[in-house]
Amino acid sequence: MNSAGIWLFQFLTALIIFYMSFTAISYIFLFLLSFRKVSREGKLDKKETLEDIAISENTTPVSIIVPAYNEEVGVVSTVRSLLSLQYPQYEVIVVDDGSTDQTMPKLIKAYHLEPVDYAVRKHLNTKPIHAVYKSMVFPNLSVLSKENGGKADALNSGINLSSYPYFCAIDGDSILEQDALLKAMKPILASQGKIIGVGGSIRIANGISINRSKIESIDIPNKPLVIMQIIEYFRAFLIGRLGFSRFNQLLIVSGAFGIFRKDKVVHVGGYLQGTVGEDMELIVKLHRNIRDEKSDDRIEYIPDPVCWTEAPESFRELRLQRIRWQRGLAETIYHHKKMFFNPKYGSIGLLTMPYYFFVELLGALFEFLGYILIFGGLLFDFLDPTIVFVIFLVTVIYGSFISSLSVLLEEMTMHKYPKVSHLIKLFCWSLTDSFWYRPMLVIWRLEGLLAFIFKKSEWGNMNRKGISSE
Amino acid sequence: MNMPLVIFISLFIALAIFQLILLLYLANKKRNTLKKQQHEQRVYKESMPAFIQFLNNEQDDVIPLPPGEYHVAEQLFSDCIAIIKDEEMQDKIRESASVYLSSYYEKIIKTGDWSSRVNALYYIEDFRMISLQPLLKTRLKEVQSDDEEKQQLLRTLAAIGDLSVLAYLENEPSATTSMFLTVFNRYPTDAIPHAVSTVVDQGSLKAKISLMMYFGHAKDLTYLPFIEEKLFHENPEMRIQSLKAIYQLNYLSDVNLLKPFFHSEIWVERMFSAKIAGSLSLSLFEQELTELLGDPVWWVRYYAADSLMLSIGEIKLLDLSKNHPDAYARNMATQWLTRGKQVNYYE
Repeated sequence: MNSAGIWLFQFLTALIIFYMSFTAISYIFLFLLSFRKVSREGKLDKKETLEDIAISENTTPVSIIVPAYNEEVGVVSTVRSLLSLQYPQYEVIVVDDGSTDQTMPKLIKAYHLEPVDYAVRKHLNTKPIHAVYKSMVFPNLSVLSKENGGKADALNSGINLSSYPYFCAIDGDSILEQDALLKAMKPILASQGKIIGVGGSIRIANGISINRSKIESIDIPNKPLVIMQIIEYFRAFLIGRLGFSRFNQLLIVSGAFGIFRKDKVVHVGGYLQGTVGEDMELIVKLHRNIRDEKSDDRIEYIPDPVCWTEAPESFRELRLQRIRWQRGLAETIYHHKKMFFNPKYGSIGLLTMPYYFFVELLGALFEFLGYILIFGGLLFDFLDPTIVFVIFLVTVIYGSFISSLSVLLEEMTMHKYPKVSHLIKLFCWSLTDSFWYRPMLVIWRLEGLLAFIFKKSEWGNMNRKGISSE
Repeated sequence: MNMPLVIFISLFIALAIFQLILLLYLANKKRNTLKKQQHEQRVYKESMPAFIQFLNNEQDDVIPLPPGEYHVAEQLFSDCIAIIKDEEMQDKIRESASVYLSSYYEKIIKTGDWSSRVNALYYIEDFRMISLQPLLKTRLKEVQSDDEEKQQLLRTLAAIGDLSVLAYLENEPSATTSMFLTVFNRYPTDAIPHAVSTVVDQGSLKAKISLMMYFGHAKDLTYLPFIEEKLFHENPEMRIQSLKAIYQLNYLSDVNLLKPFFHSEIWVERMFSAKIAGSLSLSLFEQELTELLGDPVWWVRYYAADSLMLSIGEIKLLDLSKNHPDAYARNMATQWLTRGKQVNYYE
């Protein structure tokens, strides 16, 4: 190899080392931020903190919006779990986005739905509505049937139909814990409306036992692919989101469970149609509006309220999910590129957006480059195999170290997994992360970046088994 | 061995050791927590029948609980308070809590960490532990940040009837109407007249608005003249809260008081006038309600239709669904005729 080639190799190696070190330090920093909050509030008596708002007629009511497209397997149990939530006053609005399966007939049968004339307000433009149904059994349940327009359009239709000042968006295949709405609304109520968005924790339902929409027991599933996702969710929520949330820098509230102030969402134009990352796009848009209007509104992640959702169990489905997520991230960042390094948007523009761009979006590219350099370096004798091997060991142990810190945070906050053996299982599997799970995600995330270039809009459903037994 | 290799090997060993320690710590903590939970469940199960017997036996004054079982005691006392509605028994439970837990809570409030203090305050409120009032007032003076501890201190003091909380809130620029309302809602019945006269005589607008909200919640007609007087207050928020209170009380001494609000420039006032007309079945406002059915605001139309249904009847609404000059009004009337969803406006 000539000197230019060697120079390029050394430059790229230095770049990758710098990138890996920066990422490693940023995780530690985020962990410390999260740890401080968790160690202060983790021991609060959750039941007592909620007592007041659980019975008060002054508690702000909430509209729960469930967008559903071909969710025949899980939608009935999701709605059933929502109808038994502990909350003084709320309505459930299921938006059937032109499903082609049995979603609508199943809902009609299960909840005795009948069509009603309804004077729907038009806060946001959406695809035409076919009909509005009301349950003859549950007065707070409505189902809106509309022309297919994608998840964002379904959510916007739900917002139009909703009656209350806050709405909760939840996926049609998820189960909310009974006190999740109370827990998520508590900080909103305490803030006197200053908190305009809240994201709760998403947990993987595979392995837990849910009977008639109530969680009976929690166990770790046997499938390694699902276990790795459990660990990944711990890291993402308890380290990433909690850390960012402390400084009002949270850019993602999962579409599976988020609560928002309706007037603020309507003001920014609702969910953006034609993107697969509508959940993140909304949050970035709200942040943008906060800075534009110089308001002191906040968007927070609250670890306590938990929403259980079914995770992909096959490589194919996981791959499709991750491609979709990465594409959504790319679309959102591209859509709001004006915020990038823009002092007008304060720390969101100067730090958080670039962080998401370089670490979350381009991270896969850097890591992929790292793998190529390692193999290339070994092949052409640029690298000492011993050093490569030891660095690899450090990477493995560091990855599992971060995972174990997130398990620690889980134990300090929710301690959902009841057995000692669960902890050991999670620990042991986290050690395997760098061998197979992470490289796999790197490839899929790269595919997501490519998919961003060749846009194609879809709901991206997976084959569901359903998480609740009837 | 070269330097980078040594650094990486050391880093690997350090991370591995740390992780092993963390795993052992977590596993041990989990085991201990489970053990403690099992122990507390057992003590709770054993103590409950004895405690119920103790509550029923007037002569018995020894609380049947092993010493130092504070968490079990908290659970036992609060469960019993939630289940048993007999006032005498509730007093005995609170006395027991005071005897068993006072010094434990005193220690926590003085030296405990933040979350333990807040937890203790929740239970002090549940058990109305008046003996701790001076300690709580001292703590309120010490607390700097406006967090859950401060909020809970105010709630707890209000629950034991401490009127100085009102003065404290008046001096707090960050105190909100909902904080005042929380305090009013917690005052024991015998403290309410004093609290009302304090606010009526010397209270800020914020406190008076909260009081209006409280009157509505309490559904007590004693203060109706005060509420009706505020219908013509210069502050729109005060007028709205008076209307809301009247709607909740479901009573008005003179229906003509409502008239000006049908034509108010503030849509919430128009909405409440429609709501009140419906809830009081005031058919004399048929013309006003018909006009409001074509109001630009959805919620006003919604309640105008509701009130027309309640006070005039379905036939009138059927007629309006076909003949009202405004298309939105016709839509709304149709919605109510076909059992459109009934939800409440929430401000």
